[in-house]
Amino acid sequence: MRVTTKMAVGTLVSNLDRSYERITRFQSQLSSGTRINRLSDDPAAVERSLALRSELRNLEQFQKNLGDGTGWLELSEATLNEMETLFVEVRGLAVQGATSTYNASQRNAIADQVDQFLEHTLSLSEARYRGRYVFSGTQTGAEPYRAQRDGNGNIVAVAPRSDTGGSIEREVSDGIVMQVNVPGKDVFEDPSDVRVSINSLVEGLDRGETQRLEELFGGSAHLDPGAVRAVLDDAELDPPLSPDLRAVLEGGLSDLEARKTNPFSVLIELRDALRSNDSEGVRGTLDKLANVREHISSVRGLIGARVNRMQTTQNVLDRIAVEMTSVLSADEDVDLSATIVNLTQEQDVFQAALASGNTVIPQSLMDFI
Amino acid sequence: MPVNSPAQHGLEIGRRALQAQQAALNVTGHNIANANTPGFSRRQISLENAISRVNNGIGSGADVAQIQRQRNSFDDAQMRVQQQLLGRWESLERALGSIEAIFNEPAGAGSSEAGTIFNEPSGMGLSGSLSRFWNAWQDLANVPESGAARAAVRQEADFLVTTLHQYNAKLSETRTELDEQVVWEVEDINEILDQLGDINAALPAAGFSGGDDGDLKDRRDLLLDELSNKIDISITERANGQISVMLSGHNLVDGDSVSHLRVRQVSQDGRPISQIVYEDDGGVAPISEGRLLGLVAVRDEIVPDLLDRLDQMAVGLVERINSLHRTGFGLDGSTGNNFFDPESTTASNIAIDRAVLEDLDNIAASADGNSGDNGLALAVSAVRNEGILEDGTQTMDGFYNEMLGEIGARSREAQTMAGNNRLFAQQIENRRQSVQGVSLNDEASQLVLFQRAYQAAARAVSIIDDLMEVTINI
Repeated sequence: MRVTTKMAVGTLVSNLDRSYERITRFQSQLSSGTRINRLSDDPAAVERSLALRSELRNLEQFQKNLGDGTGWLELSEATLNEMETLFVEVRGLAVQGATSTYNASQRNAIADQVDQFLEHTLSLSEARYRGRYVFSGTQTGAEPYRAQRDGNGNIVAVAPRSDTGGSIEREVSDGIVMQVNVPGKDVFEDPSDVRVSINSLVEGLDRGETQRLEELFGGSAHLDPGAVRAVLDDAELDPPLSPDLRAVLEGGLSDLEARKTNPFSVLIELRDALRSNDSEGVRGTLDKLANVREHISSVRGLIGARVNRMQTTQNVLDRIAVEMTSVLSADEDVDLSATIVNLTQEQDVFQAALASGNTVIPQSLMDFI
Repeated sequence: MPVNSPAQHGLEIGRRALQAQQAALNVTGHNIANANTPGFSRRQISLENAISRVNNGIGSGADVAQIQRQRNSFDDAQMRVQQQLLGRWESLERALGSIEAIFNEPAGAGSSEAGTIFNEPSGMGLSGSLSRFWNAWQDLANVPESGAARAAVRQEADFLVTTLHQYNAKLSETRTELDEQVVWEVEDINEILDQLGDINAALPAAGFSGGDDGDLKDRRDLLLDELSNKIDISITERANGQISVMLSGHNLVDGDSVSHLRVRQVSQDGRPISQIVYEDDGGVAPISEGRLLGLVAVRDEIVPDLLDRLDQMAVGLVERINSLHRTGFGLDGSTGNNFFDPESTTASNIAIDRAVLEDLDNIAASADGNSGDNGLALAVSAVRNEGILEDGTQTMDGFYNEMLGEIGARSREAQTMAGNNRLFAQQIENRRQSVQGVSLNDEASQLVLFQRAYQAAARAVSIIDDLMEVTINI
């Protein structure tokens, strides 16, 4: 093929252009540290890396949520820990108060202490995390319990302001939601299902008495403590309860009472028994106190399990984040050594092209004639 | 015709020789002068031995037979087809490059995204705005009673809305710019058509009067190359050297009559765009290749498609989030509020609802009315995983990532194709240059050749002169 000067120059220039373009690309990759500087640099990797990046931002949020949730749970746990200790102490006091050798003034002194514990329990129920009442369910803006006081300022009853059973949740990873609060209802109130089935009471009763029992309770299958107490206290029943039936109902009632876990009412009952120097009454609270403590302990176990789960999730998220970052890096980051080698090679090519152009193109036959 | 003396005959041969060599030197000089002129075809001079009128066996010296323009019309035809492809892919490369740049901006400041330049991965673009919007709802879920978290939600929503507006505005601007380019291209085309008509008019005269029409043809061929880069013309050459140029069967240039293209404003999606029509009959000119096709394809297909997708995202966002938000309760217990303005559902006008703008407490986080409940905030942030687009098959993020991947892939294709076609064009150009280009080496050797012949002819004349002097002095 006949080659003209213009062809030689044209070819040289277009080769130099291409080579210089590659050099610039390597150079911009090296200076930015990333392989992808435009969408078109690697569209498939762009799509992947966009998805990964929003996943990562998600993960960061989940980690924040977990931190917040763990804080919430840990505060609840610390509060309940204090309460458990308190109930261990109160039970010690109750054992003293039940001792028959104590006199009224000694019991009164103990009652003063129990009263302090009662006040303290109330203040524990008002624990706050970042300004929010943790035992108020979802009504976090107001304290969960309100105390009713007599003329001397003594607490006579404690009642929830409103529903304290709401559940507060955090999303801790995609689609997985965990409850981070312990509703006050589960700690400071009696379980809502303190009921006894009528069938368990009728065992050992004869047919007539079974029928009487069913009549008394209007055929309902489960009895709650209030209903049982109302029947027992009803002096105008006609005919009056037979001794057998009364014994069965009293047994049922004490079973039900034993299942109560309301710390306020136990403490009030204990204090009042101590004040009235009623050692039998004081003794009667011992089981209940143990019950409350056990209940608190089991709730703490539940919290512990949740905190553990959150920590495990946190660890998993950390690991996933590390893996994702490394996948992202594989897509986006420059392979330094390979790129530098490529750049050097390309520079060699570029220089060779320049040098050869410089030697060949200026020469022509004109130089020799 | 009188019989000349041998000496006179010799002088005549010498004169002709000097003329012929001089002409050859001039042609070489013209070639050298135009060595770098675009579109120039080198001339080749052919000498012939003059037909002798005297049959004395000696002959009558040399004559210039013809001066030929070196050109290969097959390569020209190939080049023009190649220019059409090149024009299309290069205009696509440019247009898609500028669209791509809309989605590229400076880096974000997120903890996991330091050191990146590319806007989207860095979180300053729409993908990042979306993530931060969802995360703001999660933050609100962590403190549903908080005014500050509500302010953050509104701010991120504002950022998201603004980003959508910006992308929409920039894409619309791109469409307007492309439309302006179409108009300029049509003006350029008309200018070229006029010049071709002028050349057509001049050509027969130049050829007929025995003048040199090579330079006119060079200019004409260069204009045809340029025109082929813009539209898919077909060219036929007549015996008298004139050409006619047709665009899908419609004559644009025929002899010295020229028919222009022009643009007509028509409406597309409620926006005026320039439609290309024939000036004479007003019919729509079908453009099926060349730079104009690239411009028109991006203006009429790619950009509207992207605008439509941004609108889909806006609609999806407004409808889904509003339908959730209306069921929730604000901090002040209000319910039934929209989060986004339900009347504004395009990427150009999507807006935060007036209720939310006026009072942050109207942002609902609670699903049951209690201030500590975060059910609604969680539900809204969970929308990120919901298939709310493309008939419930695609999430917001997935939809947008796919769109960006597609822009990138298209732009990359255009870059690769433009690069390949540049290479092909270069190869064809090299083939053409191999025939028509000026080689200084060739011309130098020609110079030597004709210079020597000239010197020798002059010497012959001088010797005959000497001989005649001898004769005269006898």
